[in-house]
Amino acid sequence: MGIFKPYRFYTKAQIEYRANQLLRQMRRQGSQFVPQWPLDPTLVADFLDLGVVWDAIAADEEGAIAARILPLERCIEINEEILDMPPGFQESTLAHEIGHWLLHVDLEAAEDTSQKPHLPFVCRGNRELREGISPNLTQLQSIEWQAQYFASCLLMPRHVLEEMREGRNLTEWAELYAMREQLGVSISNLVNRLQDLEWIYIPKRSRQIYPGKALIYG
Amino acid sequence: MKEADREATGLTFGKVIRQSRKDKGFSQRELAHRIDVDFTYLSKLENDRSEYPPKEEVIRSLAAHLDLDEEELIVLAGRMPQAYEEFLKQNYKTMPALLRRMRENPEFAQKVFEAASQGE
Repeated sequence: MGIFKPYRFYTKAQIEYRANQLLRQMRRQGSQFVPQWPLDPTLVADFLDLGVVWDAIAADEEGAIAARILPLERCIEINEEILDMPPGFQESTLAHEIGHWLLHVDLEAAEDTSQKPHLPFVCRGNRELREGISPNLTQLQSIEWQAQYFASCLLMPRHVLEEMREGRNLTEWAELYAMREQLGVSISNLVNRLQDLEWIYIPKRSRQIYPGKALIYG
Repeated sequence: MKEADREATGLTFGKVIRQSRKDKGFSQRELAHRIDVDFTYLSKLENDRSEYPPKEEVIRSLAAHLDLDEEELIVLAGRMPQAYEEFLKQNYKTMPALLRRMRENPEFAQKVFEAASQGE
């Protein structure tokens, strides 16, 4: 029995539902698990009984490793080197790994103590996707996208963004940076999320922010 | 977590402090801040990844913030000679009582040392 699920396609709605479901479960659990923003993804890991360890992770023959999951140990390892990255990067990386845990790890198999040790699930950021190292590029690209979309939905739920955009002009960078502070994410993560929701639109290689379809028609 | 549960599951130092932290409602960073260590170091302790046992003052601070027995935690952390580590971990619940008795009763301590040296 494999520890990772066979590849499957998830729609954006399915991934967003899964992230919201997790937040609802945390809210129901109460006490320290009630989600607050900026969301601390280590609390999500605690809620899922996942260990989080910051450690040196040596590069392998394919290059640098940002993070990895040890399914049988219920542990997420984060490379200490990302501590030097801009604010929001650590949170995004951990939320991304939690996305893999929920979407791509066979949780029943992970509970099975008779399972033999398994190779860790390795994340390298987007490097290998750009360089095309993997022979299974399309599926790898897809599962990385799924985990990242999950991370965005977890750290920036639609209902939280709805509240935050009240009284703000989202076509002004100052407003976006203020939202970023409240959410504890990187500005690129926020911009991607808002563009994905079609609340704003920024043409490539431009700094000009336009209202998105959802703001114009919504 | 109940003591009987700890014994039954063979919990390690890392597992005990991680579970106790969660029971107390602290995040990893919050507890690290309270005991004045880096959160990355605490994450290693929680996952039994630290190369060396933590300093005694760190263990005592952890015990104080997590309402754990200091002596039990010291034994569980393996702050003992390497050769006895496994034995001590398996019997960590009884060690504090033994150590206390040795401290309070030098004659008894002497007997223990003699018995130990005969076994080497």
